[in-house]
Amino acid sequence: MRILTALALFAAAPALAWESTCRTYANFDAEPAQLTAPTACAPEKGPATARARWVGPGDEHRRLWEKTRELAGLPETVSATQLLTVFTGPADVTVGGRGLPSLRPAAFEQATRTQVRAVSVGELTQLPDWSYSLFDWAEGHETCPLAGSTENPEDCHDFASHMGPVNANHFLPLATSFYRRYHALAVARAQECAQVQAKLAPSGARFLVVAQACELEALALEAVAQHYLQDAWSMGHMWQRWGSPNLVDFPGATAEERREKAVVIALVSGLMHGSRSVLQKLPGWTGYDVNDALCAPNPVVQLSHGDLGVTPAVGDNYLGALSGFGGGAYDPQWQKLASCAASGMLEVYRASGELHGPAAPQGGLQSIQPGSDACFSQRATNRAMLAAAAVNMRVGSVQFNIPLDARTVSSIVPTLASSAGSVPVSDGTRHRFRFDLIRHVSLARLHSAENPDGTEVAEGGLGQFLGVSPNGTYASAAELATYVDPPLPWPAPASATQAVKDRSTALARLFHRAHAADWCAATDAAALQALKTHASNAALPQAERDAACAACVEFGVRHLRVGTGPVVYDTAREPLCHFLVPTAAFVYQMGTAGDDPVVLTRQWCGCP
Amino acid sequence: MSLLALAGCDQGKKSNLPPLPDINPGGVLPKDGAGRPLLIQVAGSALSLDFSAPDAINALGTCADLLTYCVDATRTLDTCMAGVTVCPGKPAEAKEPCCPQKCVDEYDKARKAGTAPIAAFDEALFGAQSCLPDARQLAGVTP
Repeated sequence: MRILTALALFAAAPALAWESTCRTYANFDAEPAQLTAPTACAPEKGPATARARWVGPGDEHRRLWEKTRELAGLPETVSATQLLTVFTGPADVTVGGRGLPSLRPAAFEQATRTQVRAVSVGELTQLPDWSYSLFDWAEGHETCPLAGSTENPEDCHDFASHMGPVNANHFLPLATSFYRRYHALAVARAQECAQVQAKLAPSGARFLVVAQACELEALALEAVAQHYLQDAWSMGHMWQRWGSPNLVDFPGATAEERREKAVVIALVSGLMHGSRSVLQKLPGWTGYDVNDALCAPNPVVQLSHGDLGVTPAVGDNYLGALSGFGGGAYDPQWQKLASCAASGMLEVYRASGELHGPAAPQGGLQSIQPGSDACFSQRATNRAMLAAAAVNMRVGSVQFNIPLDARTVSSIVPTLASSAGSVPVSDGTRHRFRFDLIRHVSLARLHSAENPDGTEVAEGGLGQFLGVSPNGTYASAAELATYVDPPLPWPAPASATQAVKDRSTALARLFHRAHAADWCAATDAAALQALKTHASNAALPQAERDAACAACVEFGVRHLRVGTGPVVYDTAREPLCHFLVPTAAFVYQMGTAGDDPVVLTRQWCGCP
Repeated sequence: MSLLALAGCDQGKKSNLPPLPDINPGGVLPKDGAGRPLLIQVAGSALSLDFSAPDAINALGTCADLLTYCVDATRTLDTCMAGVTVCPGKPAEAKEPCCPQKCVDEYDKARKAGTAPIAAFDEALFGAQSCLPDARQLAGVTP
């Protein structure tokens, strides 16, 4: 029986670390502060979320990024809305039951439509809550990158049934591995940006926007990385949640068996993490204040960290409680998070050459190696992990703490939404679930009594649950997840696997200005001619012709010399590719010194 | 010398361990369609609590709570295990919270073999020689 998307109730909340948000706006391309008339994304998954802005109430991850940017002293311009013109094909995609134009980038010489993606870098700190990876977002969430799943893109991106069950990488220590991977990508990309800028130096500031686009792409990668760093400092994530980021790693003979196991584990993980995000919305709970540990403030919930010692901490939904956000509390937690995050951001920004202006970090920050243990060794104490095994809520002025002790968990009956309605899990799964959970909460209570400030429980010391290991087991895997973004360069060389080539090409096509050097090298005379042939085809429908012309102009101008040929052209107005690639192909169009190269390129393309 | 003997506790006898805290989560939790306390419910999926048909796994839970709630700054796991109420018959049919004698024996054996208290507890209740084999069997745990 197929498990429907709603089955992982608990999983939905837990996975969202610091909170993320998705909204559509009437003026979707405005600056974040100017966005108006918000509507909740519907559905809140898949292609719909790729078309929306991740700005609004509950965007805790973005707020953390923006605060970090202020502390690191990066110019405000790096937070501006970017408008990315994407050249797409003729396909439509189903979005909430409606057919809408696909956002998947197409080969430039085959463009039939143009779409505009609007995003500010900080929004992308929420990407791991909506997307499997940056290439997934680049492709508009229109595929299913989760190996072992064949569902349509909306189901594939459903948090409860698909993304939540494999979000063990949002918990320590696996979050460390993902941060390091993405931060390394960001730094490497930033270094490429610096090389681009060096090559462009002879052109003065004519093409600065290209290097700046590259820098923003590097920061976009860092934003994805910082999601995992931010999660690592959310109290609910400072323990080894069981499971892998790959569905295929879960035990089971079929994908559905693996998913059922992954979902049940996510339910328990959500319980430990704190379930405010889900419970607070339920009809029976809206009158309560669901202040559930680990994330909610709780007198016994503390982290243990080499430098900080044992200190109180909070997590998702409670960003405002941090000292950095006006809460006046949890200062050690905030200070370390802020220093780690700012150090990581600055490392990337400095590597690219500070192309939006010099960074001016605020005083008081510690300089820390952002991927080091100083930023990732925090763990929930044993006492905190025992407190996690409870449902906490305030009703009126009365605080209720319902312990999920061995007797209580021995009586849990999980039921799952299915195509046949709400059904109990199999007896076998239910009994094993109860048995393993009794063991877990009992050992947690004993460790809490014996060594309350220790971290044996959070370190995964209690072993497997439902036959699944704590996430640290998967932290050193050669391939962290089947859906992580490909290594640089983008596009990938011909020797790469097909998946790497496809994914890196999608990224390079979306960030095509940032990848100007790559496209200058890849676009030879034949490719330029193909762009021109497509654009000059008067038989095309008008909309397709417009798209073809836009693509031809976008790339043609990078290769266009003003003149009649290799012997006679205006050497004072060399095009972009001249500076980036010594062997670049060129096209020629006659014009005067005052002619706009874009206009001349349009003429060369044969566009009206 | 057996830890149990140290505590002077005989099978079927009641000891002076602290009473277990009441569990009554139904008071404040919303109910599902069957009237069971809900831990959570979204779109047809739920985690509910059903105390109506206790089985061997519930008995395991009770025994585990009896021992783990007992441990505090003044009582070690050894002390608690030695003083635990031993079930007079089948644990699942016991009227009062208890643990099977085998739990005490297995724990004692592990401790004498040099196993640390928490590991000995884990072994005695949940391991291959579990003192509640019916629970282990019901859960489908293989050795």
